Amino acid sequence: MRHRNLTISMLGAAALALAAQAAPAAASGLSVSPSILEHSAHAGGVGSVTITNTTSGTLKINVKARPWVQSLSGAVAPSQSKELSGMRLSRTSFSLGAGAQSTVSLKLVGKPSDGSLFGCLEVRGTPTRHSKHGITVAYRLISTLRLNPSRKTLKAQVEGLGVVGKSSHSTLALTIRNRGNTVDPIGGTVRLTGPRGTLTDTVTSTRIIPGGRVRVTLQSLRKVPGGSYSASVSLTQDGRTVTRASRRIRLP
Amino acid sequence: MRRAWRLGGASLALCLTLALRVGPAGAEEEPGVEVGGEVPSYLSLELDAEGGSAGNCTMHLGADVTASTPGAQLSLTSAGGLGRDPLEAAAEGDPFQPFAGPFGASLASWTQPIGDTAVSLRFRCAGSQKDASSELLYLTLSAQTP
Repeated sequence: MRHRNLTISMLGAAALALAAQAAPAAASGLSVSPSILEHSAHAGGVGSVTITNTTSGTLKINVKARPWVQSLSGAVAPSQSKELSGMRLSRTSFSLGAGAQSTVSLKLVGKPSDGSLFGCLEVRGTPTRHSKHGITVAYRLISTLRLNPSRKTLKAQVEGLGVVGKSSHSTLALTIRNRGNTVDPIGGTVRLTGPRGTLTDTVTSTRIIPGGRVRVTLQSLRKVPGGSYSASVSLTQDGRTVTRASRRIRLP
Repeated sequence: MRRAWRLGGASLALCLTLALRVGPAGAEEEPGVEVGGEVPSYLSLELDAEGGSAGNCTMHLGADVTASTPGAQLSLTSAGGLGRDPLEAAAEGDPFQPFAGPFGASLASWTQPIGDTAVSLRFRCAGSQKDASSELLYLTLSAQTP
């Protein structure tokens, strides 16, 4: 299993170990590690996560593997109704006592149809004692699951390029759909060529779930004179150019 | 004692600086040898003691957040899920906002890894709602990207 790890010096590790030893009397919360579980998408065990309750009371723990829902802005949230198909967890609902920790193993039942699976692990920890104020605040930790394909398909599509907003607030916006089977960031450049010259802007690298689409806002058009422009887009992923597209756009 | 569990970059950097400056007596650097270790990525959410009153339908709460990977977000969702929630929430200094739907109310976000970062939260009833008893809210710490 390949965790996404934070490499630190040995002295740093020692400092962390000392801090961790002092933890039980001090901390009061819920933790999950690793926060990004990355593995190749093949049938069988794909890793495990450790859940630790450092509160002074028992927490009722619920664990679910869920697909992401991605908004047009690129933000992701766990689906509230669906579970990640093909994923089995060794434990899904249990009580975790004060200071206790538990490991949940993840197993992929079969190889995903498009070779990869991306989602998250939703860990909910609800106090068994309810708040005296009526409002009970429970813990919810969302860690990332990346089950990468053995053979990557890098493919992106420009679904839209146009002006959003009005007058001085208008900006150029690019809508990208990920047609591949990875979440490798997609970035690139947009070049606008018009009667008064050429403008170039960078498309900020964004992780998009396979099949998902994201709208990237580009530069402000406040100082760009109106008229007809030729826009050319070049998108890159994993160091390779995955698509080129041209559009004719009219700026107000 | 609460302050003992600090993974903050500043304290870690301080430890490293002190350790490197003091060092073991007689220790010599051996060129070309790289010593390292690996720590699994980590998400941690801690809550402080809460305050407020159900009668006034207000509550305040402190949260401490640790996320060893960049791009963490703190948000609030209700146990009711997609339904309209009778409460509003805000991080200190920010305006109140309702929370409903899968994305909930975004309270704070960070682009860099963070260590035990304190966030002060406030809750209140929305509109004509006067009673927040039996409300179950989930304070969510999550990744912002897939």
